[in-house]
Amino acid sequence: MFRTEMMDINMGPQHPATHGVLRLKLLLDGETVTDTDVIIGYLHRGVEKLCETKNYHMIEPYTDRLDYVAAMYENLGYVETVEKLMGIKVPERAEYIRVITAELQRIASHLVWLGTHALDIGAMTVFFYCFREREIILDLFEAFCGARLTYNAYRIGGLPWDLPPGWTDRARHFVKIFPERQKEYDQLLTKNRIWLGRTKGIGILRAEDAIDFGVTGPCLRSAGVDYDLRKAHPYSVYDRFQFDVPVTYNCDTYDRYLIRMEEMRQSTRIVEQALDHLPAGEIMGKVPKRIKPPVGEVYHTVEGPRGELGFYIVSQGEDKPYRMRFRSPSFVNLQALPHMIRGSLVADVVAVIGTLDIVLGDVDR
Amino acid sequence: MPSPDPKPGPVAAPPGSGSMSPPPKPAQPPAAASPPKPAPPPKVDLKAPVDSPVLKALQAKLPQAVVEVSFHAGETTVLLKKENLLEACRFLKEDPNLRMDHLSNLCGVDFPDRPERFEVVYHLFSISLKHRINLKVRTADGEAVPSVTGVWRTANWHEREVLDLLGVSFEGHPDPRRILLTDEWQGHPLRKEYPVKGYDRDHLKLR
Repeated sequence: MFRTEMMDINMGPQHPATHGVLRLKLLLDGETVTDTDVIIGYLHRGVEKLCETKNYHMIEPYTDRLDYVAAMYENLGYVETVEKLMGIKVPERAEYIRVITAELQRIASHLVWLGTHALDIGAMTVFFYCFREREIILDLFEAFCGARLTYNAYRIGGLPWDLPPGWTDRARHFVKIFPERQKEYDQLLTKNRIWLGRTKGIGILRAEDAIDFGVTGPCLRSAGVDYDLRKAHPYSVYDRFQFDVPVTYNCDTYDRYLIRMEEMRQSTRIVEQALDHLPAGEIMGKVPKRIKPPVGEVYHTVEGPRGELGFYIVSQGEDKPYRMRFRSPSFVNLQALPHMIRGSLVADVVAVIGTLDIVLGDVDR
Repeated sequence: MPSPDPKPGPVAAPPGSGSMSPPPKPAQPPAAASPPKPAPPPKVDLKAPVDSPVLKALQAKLPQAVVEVSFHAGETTVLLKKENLLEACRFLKEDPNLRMDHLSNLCGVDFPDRPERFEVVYHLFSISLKHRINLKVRTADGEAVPSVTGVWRTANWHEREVLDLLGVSFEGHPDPRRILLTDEWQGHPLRKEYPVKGYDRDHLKLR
């Protein structure tokens, strides 16, 4: 007599396609996923607890280590939250430099995503192309702040350093060559039959589910919801730039690929405009040496490459936060994974993890 | 090098012109204080009340639920009675004029000196109408808070995290397990009495 039974398969935590230490317990019916248990926490370092023991200046390097693929954005969100908490005004030049570096970071982060996502699905060349361009951005960041991954590039109230001489020319050069380079990825993937077969119709997440799961960023916009915090609740000087928020309606992995590709083009536009209008002047606002915010609490969100990055600080009037909370987009987006892979094949699980673009440092904190 | 005059304002202001006058501080406002401070930075009133349509609607619909309202840096925070939380959340989500469909964040804060030591904070956005409000409830140790997973599914992992790190339980949660720490972990690290190094970690001392 033949009989069939469900089978539990363990994926991770050491698995190259889970982008870190993600563990999935898949319940399989043949090759079809019927249920998933997502097990996280392997990279939990208790950053929120640690922040309660550090003063406000000492927290910024910790934020680098949350989402280490887009550390500039973690820095930006954190310093803006403290500035909002204290009512500090940041000089224009510092705001512009922040926008330039943050948008370059978005391009770099999307390049890592594109390279690794394509590699997971089986296209190797794209990886080399993406990292070739990411290298230029990292060189720019190294010239600006001395680090290539964990930048600690901003300060509460402004910037620690001005741009080094010749930096804007190098940035302009990158902005000029990047659209051409991006066409190369386009040629490799956008109409590639294998790519289309592996991504079209895979990992469907409809708008009402996406909103219900709290999913933000490109994953939400691929479901037709036009929600980008740079437009919805403009922060920094984003309201001064012309850019479009790409939105698609097919809710699948291929659409999320198209959205991120378009976001890179739009980021290039923002960097170009910011470089053109970069004002001269101060880079540091009037900030007391000891940061002691008044009693109060504040929640601030910025649009990171992965979605909505939230920072919640409760201050009791001391030089350390009473409570610090990081709302990380990876953590929240990952929650939709079981819903997205239910009923699909095991091979597609890899594609869906890639399209969610999670960073486990950000998930586990 | 970025700032040509390193903080002239605060240093130069108190002495002013009267160098020998014995009572310099109280005599400042009428006599000599105005010239050295040409433009005192416009003091931002962080606690200024904000006109929030969401708050008005909430107060009109459930006046008995709102305990306290506070403002900081343009944000409105409403402290609700725990028993009215679900009702208020459903109203905020389903009312066609509010549509707070996006629960951006949910977390807990520990105040060990208070009789109701835990605060659970909900940060709500409306994606279509682009407004926001923060809700709060207080609860004592060992008392459960109603789970909002039935209103927003995203609350599931957030509430598991609060349970894991603070030890606040949620009534009606579909899957109350630890999420970041291992199942056999003792204690709740985000409680204030929990040492940063953890318990029984003396062997980790630097030698």
